[in-house]
Amino acid sequence: MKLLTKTTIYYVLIATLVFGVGGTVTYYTVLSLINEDISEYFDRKELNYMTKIASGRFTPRTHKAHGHSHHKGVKHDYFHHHFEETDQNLKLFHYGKSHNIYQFITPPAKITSEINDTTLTMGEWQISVRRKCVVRKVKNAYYKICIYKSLEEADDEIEAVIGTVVYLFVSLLIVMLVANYYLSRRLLQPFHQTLGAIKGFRVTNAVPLELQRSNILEFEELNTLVLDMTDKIRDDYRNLKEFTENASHEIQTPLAIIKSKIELLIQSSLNDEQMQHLQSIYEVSNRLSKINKALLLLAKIENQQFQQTHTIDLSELVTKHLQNFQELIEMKNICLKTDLQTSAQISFNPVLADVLISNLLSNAIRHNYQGGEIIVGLAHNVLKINNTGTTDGIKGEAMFERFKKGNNANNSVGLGLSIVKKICDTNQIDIVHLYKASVHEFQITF
Amino acid sequence: MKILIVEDEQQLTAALVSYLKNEGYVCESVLNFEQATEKVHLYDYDIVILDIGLPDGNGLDLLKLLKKLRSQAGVLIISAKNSLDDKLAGLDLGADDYITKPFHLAELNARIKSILRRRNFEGNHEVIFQEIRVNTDKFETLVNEQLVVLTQKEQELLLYFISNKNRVLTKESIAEHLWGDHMDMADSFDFIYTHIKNLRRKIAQKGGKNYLQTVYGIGYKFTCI
Repeated sequence: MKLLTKTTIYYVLIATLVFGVGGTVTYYTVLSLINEDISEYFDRKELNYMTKIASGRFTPRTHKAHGHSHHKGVKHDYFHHHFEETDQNLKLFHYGKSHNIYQFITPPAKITSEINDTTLTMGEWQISVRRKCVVRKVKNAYYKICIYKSLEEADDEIEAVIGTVVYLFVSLLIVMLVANYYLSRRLLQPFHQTLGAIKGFRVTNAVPLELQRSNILEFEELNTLVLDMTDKIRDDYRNLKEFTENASHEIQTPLAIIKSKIELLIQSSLNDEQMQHLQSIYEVSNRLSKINKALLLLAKIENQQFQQTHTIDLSELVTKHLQNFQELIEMKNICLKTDLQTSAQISFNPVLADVLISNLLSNAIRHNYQGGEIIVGLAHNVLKINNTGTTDGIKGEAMFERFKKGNNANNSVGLGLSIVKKICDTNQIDIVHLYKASVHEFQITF
Repeated sequence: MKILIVEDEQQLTAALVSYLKNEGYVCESVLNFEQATEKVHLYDYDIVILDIGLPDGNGLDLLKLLKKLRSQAGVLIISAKNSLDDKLAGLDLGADDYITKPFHLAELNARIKSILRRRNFEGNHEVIFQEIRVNTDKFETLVNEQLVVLTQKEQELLLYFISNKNRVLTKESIAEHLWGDHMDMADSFDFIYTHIKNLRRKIAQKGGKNYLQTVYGIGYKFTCI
């Protein structure tokens, strides 16, 4: 999971928690405020009605006298009609838009006070109404004062509060996500740059890594560490390469001595057994010398010691090497087919080009059988060498591994194709090995 | 013929001296640049065998010195480095040939003979062995004054044998002489056999003797019986 996704998920979770708690607290706070308001309103009205009853300013008004003409309208918020008390002991004393006042015929058994909410259907509207009925004694008479208050306003307020909270939450979330995304990308940019540089790091590269400077302490620290580490790796690698090369060099002289001493010994009169021993020593020292030469060549290629390039005519080069190998090809009765169409010019180091072509061709001959076939095709900088093969033990990339040999029967050192691969790698050339129907194909795109 | 061997490796020098003395050369050897400078100032040599990597100097500088002294000596460079730059630099400075360590003594000997032939101002490009005459200039071989048609490889092989007559030549050395470094296959030994068979046959056709002896397991020897 990407760091950005992870942080975003955490941000969303935290935001949800904060807004969940905050929203709930706000909701209940607003609700209690509204309830307080309403109860204050009820108290005020109650007091007002009681004063009016006491001072006799209320002229008793009944529904009948009034005729209910205003109830015929479609929209009204006159609640008193909806709350008519059916108690026989009560007599309507006065009514208003939002109150009904009843007088007790006989004094009530107890003084009651009730508050409840009802939903009224008025026409096509659903209206929540709070009703408060209290029994009060005014001037020796008992009254039941019922006051009605529409809760619509309160509902609207709560809705507004919830709406605001939700709106804030959503917009904050969006702003946060967008900001987080861009900010993180900006902040993490040096990190990604470093990561990319590390991905592109090759131990064989001569130039050190280039890292963007950052004013973020952690990234700067990372960059310093990465630079130190890669420098050390490159240094060690270079030392190792130099060591390989130097060691190979140093081995050449003792080998030369061994070989020349054996050659001298061969000239003297020795018996057959001694000759055979000498022959074995001579053979292995030759072999050692060949391995050493091949390793030295590999080391030199790795050390980029073949930098100079010349324009080389590929078809000319291939023809030249085929002529060199002609005898071998004839001896193995190999049928050689060439199709060197274009005279492809490439810019290449002449030594490496020689080694490359020679190794590939000798490989094609060596791993062939009597009466086999070799097809060499060259067209548009693509060189294809096909040969019928005796072994299919090794396939694909393993073909190019050092000291990997198909069979131990022949004398090969097992470095020829590694050298080919190394040459291709250091010169950014594609080489592909295919094997099907007992035909090996090496395809090189220059 | 006088040969100066400039090589810091005593063991190798000893082997070279031993081999070349048998060829009838007079050999002197020095181990470092300083001694070599002294020698070339004092004496004339026909051939200087020069190791590039000397403990106290670069063999190429000695080559420059030889040219400055207008020395007539042929120069054969030996080097542990199979480096094209060294080779080109050496040949540019007027060296006659270049050979990389480790080498076959027979190869070195053949190269020396080749240099001597080329340096021979009497225009004597002929190599003679009994009834066989090889003209290295015209690439012709005569046996009993009759022309023998040889392939290039057969001619090279014959010349290599005559250059190292009375010596056992190993198959490896022959293969390397004929095909260079790249031919490292066991197959090439079969080849040498084929070439030698043909060579014997062609020389015998013109009434030549069979001088080619097989040294079992090792190689061949070209010698008067």
